[in-house]
Amino acid sequence: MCPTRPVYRQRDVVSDQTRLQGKHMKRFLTAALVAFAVILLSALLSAQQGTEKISPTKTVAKEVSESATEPAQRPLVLSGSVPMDGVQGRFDHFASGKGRVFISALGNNTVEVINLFGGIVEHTITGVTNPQGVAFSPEANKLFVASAQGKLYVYDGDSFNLITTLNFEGGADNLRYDAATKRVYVGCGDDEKNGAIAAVDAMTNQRLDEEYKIGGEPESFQLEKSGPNIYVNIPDLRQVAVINRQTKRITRWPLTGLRLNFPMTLDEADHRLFVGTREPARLAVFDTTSGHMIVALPSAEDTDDLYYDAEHKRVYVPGGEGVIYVFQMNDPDHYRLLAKIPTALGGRTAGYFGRLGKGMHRFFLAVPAAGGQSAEMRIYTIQE
Amino acid sequence: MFKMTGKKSGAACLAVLFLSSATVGAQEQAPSNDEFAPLVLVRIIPMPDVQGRFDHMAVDNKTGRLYAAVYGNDSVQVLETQRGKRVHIINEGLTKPQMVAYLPDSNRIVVSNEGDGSCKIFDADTYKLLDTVKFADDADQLRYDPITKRVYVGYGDGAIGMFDATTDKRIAGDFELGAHPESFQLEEKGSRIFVNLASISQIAVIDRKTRKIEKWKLEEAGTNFPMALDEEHHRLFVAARRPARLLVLDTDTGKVIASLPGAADTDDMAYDPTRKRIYVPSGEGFIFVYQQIDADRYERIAKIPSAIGARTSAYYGQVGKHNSLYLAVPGRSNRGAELWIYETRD
Repeated sequence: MCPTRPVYRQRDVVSDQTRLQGKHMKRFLTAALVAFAVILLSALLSAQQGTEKISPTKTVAKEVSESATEPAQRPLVLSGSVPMDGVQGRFDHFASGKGRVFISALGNNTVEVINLFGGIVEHTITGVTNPQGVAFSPEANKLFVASAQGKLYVYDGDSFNLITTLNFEGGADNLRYDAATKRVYVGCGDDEKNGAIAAVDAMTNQRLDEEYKIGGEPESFQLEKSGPNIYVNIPDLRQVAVINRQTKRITRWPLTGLRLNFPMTLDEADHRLFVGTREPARLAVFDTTSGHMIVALPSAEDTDDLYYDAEHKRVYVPGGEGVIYVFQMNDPDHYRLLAKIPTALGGRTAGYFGRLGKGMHRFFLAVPAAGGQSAEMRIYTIQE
Repeated sequence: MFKMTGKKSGAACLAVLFLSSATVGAQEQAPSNDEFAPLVLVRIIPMPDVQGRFDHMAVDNKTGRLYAAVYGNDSVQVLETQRGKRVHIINEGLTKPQMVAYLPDSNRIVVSNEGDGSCKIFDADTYKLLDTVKFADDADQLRYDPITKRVYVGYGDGAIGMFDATTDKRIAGDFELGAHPESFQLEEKGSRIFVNLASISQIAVIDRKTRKIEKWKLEEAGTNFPMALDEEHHRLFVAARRPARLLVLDTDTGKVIASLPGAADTDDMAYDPTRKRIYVPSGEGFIFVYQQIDADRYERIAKIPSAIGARTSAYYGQVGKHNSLYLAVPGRSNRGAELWIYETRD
């Protein structure tokens, strides 16, 4: 209705003008006509300006309403949320086990324990300074929490009572659990001397001799299940380090043209390693058999987590800019951006754990408190 | 003069656009109503202290009282829908409650529990716990058959068991299904029970007389949780999640005769035999409304914005003066839990 109205008016003006002009030309051939034309021109111009002003707003409104009803591609659909009232500050990493999701509330010095089926914060672990990585061992029934202040906290998997703490020089960050050896690997240290991947026995809570000095602060790392390798992001060195746990050898892959490689995920079946970089914002895909970077696709800004969905052969990249990039693997060498899902500012850490109970296939995103709205864990349902 | 008109219409347009964009932006805060929509939101009953996920609900058609199971906080919320008020919260003996059934003959309610596999029976007026009927594990969906006065209970991995609502005693002869039963429907004119087996994307068809069990495999879409039955036209409706489709099956042949784009995160659906419509709420924040043109033809006529996470609903036909769809809306970070009542419209 709105856009057509000014257009009709404009046409009326033109036809009126022609008729009136005829009369005036007969009666006053001089100044009167010129004056009228000037008035008319200005009227026309202003009417045109009016339509121009409206049209961009109109387009935006149309896009919004369309995307709200029938978006083209929706690999992730926001379908629920668990409020985390009173949790302040930035969130860090996720873990899952026994129908629960564990989220490090780094800025709040707590770990939030969320009951997935209940959709509720079941427990809050306090007394952890700047928690970062979390890992759950079903075999040991323990939760491990890494603190930026150089401690690894070990909790009972049901009561969440603290069992013990271990010290790590230069901070403890990412954690990965290896179910085969019942070991927790700890990304620790903050410089070229103490930067390492260390190991802790999940059953005995003892730090093992197994340790790999990698020459810089480790960020995200991934354990191979069908092979001996650990892949580690080292942003300081602009490298991915590949640790062979059998030979203890470390090989290094350079990140050509890319910096600040924080998150990482692994697709073992297709021999692909996905690395998220922040400068520039790219999703870099490595062939793990050759160490070559196959492609680097424009991706979400400010990334800290990324996940591979083996069932749909997709990569999910949440970005703090308020978006999740979803990439589709056509084949191991070819990828396309499937969708950009708008989220919320600061929603940069997430959890994805494949299929959970009752066939639930979800993606979880931590959204920090902002502007009077409390923090929440958003639940996205994964679509075909 | 022309200038004035141009400005006026421009201003009017901008105002309308501003309003409409404000409505879109505020979608998650408050629902927008379209008076021509098949469902119109007429009432909101707040439950600000309720945290966690809602599960299934039951309504007493006579009093308009609604009983909502809240899985997330081990409670049943009792609401007077006619007065728009919450009147009671039941907690006693509940552990992960999943569904409520109302038994009109005895004015009692049954609550199924995932936690200990029990069915708790309460007086519907005094809310006193009267009895407990135990099932092995994960008591979930409930249906009451007023003819035989039996309560059917989907439980474990999986079977449909029964208990006698007059004695509260288990009746032998569980129907073993080999997977956890999700929504199921009892035939009133026939002897069959249709059961969604979501984990294996099948529908089990139990004959209560012959005890024979047939299984229909869903080919094009599965993970089928909710279900509704139109006995008159011999049609069964299933909302599949993978991919999101509304499937219409012929109950005589088991064949899928219609398949339409569906809702992403479904847990309840209902068939309205008066208006020949199917209501499917989805956690993605919409209620999908389909029109049954005839037994074989269906059309999606509306997708009504609701609220994120609002995936369970109840439709009980005429309740007093109203013909309503009840929608459970879980709390979010900026707004407490609520029950939304939609009036059905032509």
